[in-house]
Amino acid sequence: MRLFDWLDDRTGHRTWIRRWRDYPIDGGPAWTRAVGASILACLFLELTSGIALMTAYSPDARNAWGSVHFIQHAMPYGWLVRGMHHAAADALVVLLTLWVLLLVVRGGYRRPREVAFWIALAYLPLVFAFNITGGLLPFDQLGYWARSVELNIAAMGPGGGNLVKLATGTGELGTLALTRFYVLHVFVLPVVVFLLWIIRRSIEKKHAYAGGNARRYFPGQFARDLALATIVIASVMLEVKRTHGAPLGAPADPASDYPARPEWFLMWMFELRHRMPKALEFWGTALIPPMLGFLLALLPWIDRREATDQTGPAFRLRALVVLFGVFGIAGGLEYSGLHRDAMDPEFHKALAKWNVRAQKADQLALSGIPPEGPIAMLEHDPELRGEALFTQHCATCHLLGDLGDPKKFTAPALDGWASEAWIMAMMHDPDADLRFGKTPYKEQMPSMDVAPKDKPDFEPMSKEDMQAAASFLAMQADGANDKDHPGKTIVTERCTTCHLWKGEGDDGGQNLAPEFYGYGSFEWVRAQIANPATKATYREGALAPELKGHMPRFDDDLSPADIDLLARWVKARTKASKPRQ
Amino acid sequence: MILGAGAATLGAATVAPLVIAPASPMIASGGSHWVRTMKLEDLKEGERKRVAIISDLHDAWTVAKNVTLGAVWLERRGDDVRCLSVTCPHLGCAVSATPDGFNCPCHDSDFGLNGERKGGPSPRDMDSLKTRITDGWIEVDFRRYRVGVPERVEIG
Repeated sequence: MRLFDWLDDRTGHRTWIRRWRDYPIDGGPAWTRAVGASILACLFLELTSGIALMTAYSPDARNAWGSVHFIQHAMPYGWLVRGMHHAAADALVVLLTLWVLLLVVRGGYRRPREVAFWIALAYLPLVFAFNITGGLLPFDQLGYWARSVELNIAAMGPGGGNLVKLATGTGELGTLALTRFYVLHVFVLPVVVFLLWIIRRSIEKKHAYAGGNARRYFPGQFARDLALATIVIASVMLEVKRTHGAPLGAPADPASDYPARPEWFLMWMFELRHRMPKALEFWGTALIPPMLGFLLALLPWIDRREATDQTGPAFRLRALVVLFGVFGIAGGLEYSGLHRDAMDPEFHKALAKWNVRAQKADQLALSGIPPEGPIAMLEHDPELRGEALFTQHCATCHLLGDLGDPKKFTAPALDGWASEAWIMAMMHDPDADLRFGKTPYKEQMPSMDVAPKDKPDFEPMSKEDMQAAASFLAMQADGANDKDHPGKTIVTERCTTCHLWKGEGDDGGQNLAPEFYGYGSFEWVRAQIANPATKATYREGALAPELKGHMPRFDDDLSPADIDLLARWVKARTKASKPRQ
Repeated sequence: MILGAGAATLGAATVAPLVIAPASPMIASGGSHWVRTMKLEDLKEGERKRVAIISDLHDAWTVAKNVTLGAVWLERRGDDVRCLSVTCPHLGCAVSATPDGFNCPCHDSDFGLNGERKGGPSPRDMDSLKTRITDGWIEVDFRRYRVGVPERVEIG
């Protein structure tokens, strides 16, 4: 042990250990005193996991989401580290609240420990600040919109606008804001917490009470500290295992319509805001939490006894009742807010939409994110872009799936379009609302099996013939255009009275009914979107001015690449769906 | 006395970097606001349509061309187009269209078909933006206003 003798001589480390071991615990070891050690354990876990996350994270608007996705999906055990960082942060909110509550119950605010108590109180807003700055860093919809609303709330207060500018650099949640939140989260806040911890520890030492009922820290209290911290860290691990890491929403999109919600521990304030009369909204919600904190800070003057004073539990009981009242109200508000959202179908619909987008982004990002960022990645995805183009250009008239307004549509529903079932329905009742009924082409195509009013001698087409023709036409979409088929003669000889087959037909010269060769194929859809009047689908007659509300051409508005993409999307979607009834 | 002043100066000089650079406001990008959206002929009378505002985004040292900056609700009234910003004047979420107007999914502000305030916490009506028709295209004078205040104060 000559090495340790030497070390002790140079550093005095044995004295440190002795002081730590012999630190007097007033009233002996207690479980209620063990919370502090668990907080320390969580903070240490935050530090180690935080450093690990910093090795891959990039605080830049176009890279942040992607780097977190990388941590979550590509970095070995990245999901685990990120999950621990997230779950331990939640645990800290709970533990710190409990800790402050126990301090109040035990009279830990009493003379001469006022300053130590204030420092303990200051940890609450600090842990919120950690959560708020950290929540923006993944730059997903959840964090972006929660922060956006919170900054707008902050800007409403006096001097709030400048505070927001200071926090974000520009007032917007972009790259500068991310960098600043990052600096706060990984440097400024940890340093502040560490300094406060040092100061509080010195104050505690100064006032350490070594009365007759005091016991040494080691081993009684140490064992309790260790046990509770082990339970807490084990719970954090179990939570990570259960949730498979922290959630990552769809990439932040400033132009979207995300229903912003705060973190779970601020939900009660969200609900308070909701229930506040409009005139009181800002002051009512912005003042109540700091007022509560201020009241707590004044406790040493409300209860003016010294720390050693053991008289009467009456005050503590009253304080406890008040505190539980406050927590009860906050808990009630919290529940009410969560309950209202749970009961709101619109909220669920919006969340479901964004969950789908988050999954899509997750999946696309696995094969790499372009340097323009995850939003550009999503915009260029054929599936999403197809849907966006359809929504913007087609769904104003057409219906397809849940796109288009079922009350206002003016063009055929495209679900199952060009399938056998759809063609059968078309041949039977072309003027149904879901087909030509709401279009200028109404009454232009006759039914094949229902007699028109003015033609009593009408001879309906047989069911077998209709089936054969529909079956042959449905094959056109897949390129089996010319195959020998019982329906071929019907289509190429009887339908061509009005329709075209390879450009031939329309004996009556109506110049209206479309080409059937390749009907429903990619080429057909593409030609129809670009310009319906090229004979490849319909002809000039179909775009005649008197047919008001006809299908427009899109080759002026959309690039050839977009038309290709849209045609491919429409063909895939119509094929994957069944005709509406 | 002299030692005190010296210490204070040293203190000020070492803290200065923290204060002067990050605390000074950055210059926000301004410039022309007119943004081309969609063709007038594609907007049906009486239909409310959410269109994206696509322009250049300046963010810190980067500029991204043709990215979505925000969105607006357009409604055609004859040859005129009424334009409302989707940004809720309450706390900045994006409002959705309802059958009888607009509603914000965050704090339940309600607006009528003309963007007039009907209920909920919004301090003012939805912000209407100027539009003009150039070569058959609807152009929007895209501006943003401070949220949470009754009066309209432009940002940037």
